Amino acid sequence: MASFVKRLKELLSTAKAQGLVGDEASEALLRLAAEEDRKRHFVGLVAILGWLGGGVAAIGVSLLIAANWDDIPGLVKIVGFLVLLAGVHGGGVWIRWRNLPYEKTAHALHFMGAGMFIAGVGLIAQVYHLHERPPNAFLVWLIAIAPLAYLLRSGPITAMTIFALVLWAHMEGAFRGSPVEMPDMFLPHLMLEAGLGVALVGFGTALRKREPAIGKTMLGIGVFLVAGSLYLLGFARHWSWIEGVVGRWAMWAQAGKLILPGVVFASAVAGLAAGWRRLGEVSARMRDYLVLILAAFLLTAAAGAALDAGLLPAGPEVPFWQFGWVEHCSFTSLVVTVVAWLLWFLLAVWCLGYGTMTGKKALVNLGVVGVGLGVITRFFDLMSGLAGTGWMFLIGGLVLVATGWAMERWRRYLLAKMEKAK
Amino acid sequence: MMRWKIAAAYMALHVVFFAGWAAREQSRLLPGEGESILVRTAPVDPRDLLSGQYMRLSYEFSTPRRMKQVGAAPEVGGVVWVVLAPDDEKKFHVPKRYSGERPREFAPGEVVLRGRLAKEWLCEFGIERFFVPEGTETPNRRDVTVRLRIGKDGRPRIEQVYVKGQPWRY
Repeated sequence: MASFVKRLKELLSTAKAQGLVGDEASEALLRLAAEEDRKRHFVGLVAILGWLGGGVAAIGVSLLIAANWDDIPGLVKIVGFLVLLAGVHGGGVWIRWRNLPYEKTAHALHFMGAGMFIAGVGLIAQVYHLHERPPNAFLVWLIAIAPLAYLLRSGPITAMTIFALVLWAHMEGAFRGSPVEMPDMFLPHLMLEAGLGVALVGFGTALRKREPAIGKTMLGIGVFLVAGSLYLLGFARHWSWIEGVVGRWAMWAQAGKLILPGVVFASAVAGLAAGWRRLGEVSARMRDYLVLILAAFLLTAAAGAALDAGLLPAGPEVPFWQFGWVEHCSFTSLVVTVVAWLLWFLLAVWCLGYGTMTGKKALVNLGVVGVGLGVITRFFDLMSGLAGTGWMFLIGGLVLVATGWAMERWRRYLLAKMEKAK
Repeated sequence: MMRWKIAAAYMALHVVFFAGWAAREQSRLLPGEGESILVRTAPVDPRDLLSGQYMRLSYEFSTPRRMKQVGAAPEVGGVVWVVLAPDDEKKFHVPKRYSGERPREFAPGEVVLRGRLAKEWLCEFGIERFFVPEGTETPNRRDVTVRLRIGKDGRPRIEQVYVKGQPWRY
């Protein structure tokens, strides 16, 4: 990019040609810009050297501490941590208090502080040899940083909070004797991701205008979780258990086993209700399609969890090919799997449709990638019976090439159509 | 601006939280605080993502098999109270009885520990990990004993690990 002075020169020559500024004013402005540019470069050099020096010193301090970590008394480590935590947050607050023009630095400092919290928990656990209830560490972290995300209107701390929530939910759900313990199986845990994803999409959409940093982060992570868990749900027949349903039912029948999936399901429904109006604002029809797809996805994920819990009948065993040998899955898990495949393609097509309608290229690209990924994944998933010979690789290679070519052509066609429509 | 002031106060609370927590844990180990007992243990050495390398310590009062021998059968995840009494040589404390309720009466020298039944075959007391420097060798299991400090609430903390009767210098 051309320098500011060069761009200003071009702009001023146009402005002079149009009679907007005179020669004198133009030259004065150029002189001022050149002077400021010189200062900026000087400050930039000082800043770069300062950052470099500071960085090297920080690395040196870190290395010194790391090399002597075992010899540092526990209390000194804790005091050092407290000073660091207070310093990091204090630095951020000071920047804000003095109204200095380093808002991003302040946010970065608070982000570091929020991350240091869990490191502090680990440090005290190490110094005092504690590990009574590991999920509590993440719950305390979650409680500590969630209000910060809101108070500081910070997208990165919101992402960290969601990360802490996901970690805590899985750890608490897997913790033996927890009041919200779940069976140690894949699909109930996947249900957490699915429900949380839908909830974040809904609440993120609802918050997007009022709290842009928080809402957009929630929406982005929600989309990621929905896509990831829907993709994995397409393999439900591989994950779902087909034996011991009666035993699992007895295990789940104990009070508390359904609390976590139930809360997540309710949050997802509440999220969809909250974000209903703002999801796909351009077209009510497209909005309704999206809500239907998300609701169907939520129900399918819940059905998968209920199947593994023994709350849904498994049905007869169905054989399928699995890279050279015959595997078996339950009929219900196959139904869940096939519905997940359909929903994956429907969601990808929705992205394409809505992206084309609203002129959002990113959404079109996402839809194309979704369709392509779906085709390739299903090819390898369904055609693995050919794995005993070289045919799968031969056909697989051709499918990959053909899918890539077709997707790219389709994407370009859609983008060109969008350009024309503008 | 108000939001920022609340945020600043909340961040200060983080620091107070850690200072308070560390002070609480430190106070548990002060001389004269709670009961100090010696127990036998068997170590292995896994790692923790957050806190580094540690020795996993297994105690003779950690196994529910022994609980069933004395008649208590708590639910998995439930709170377990274990009464430890001095052994015949008055050197180590060994499990005497277990219950789901906190015992009210003890004989002289007996202490009560609060734990939870983690699995059908394992009871945990929060003293199963002893964090050590990276690369520390695990001592012979027969040589390791542990001194525990039991708080008034029954929660134990590791006070000292001994190898062949001497404080372990790793």
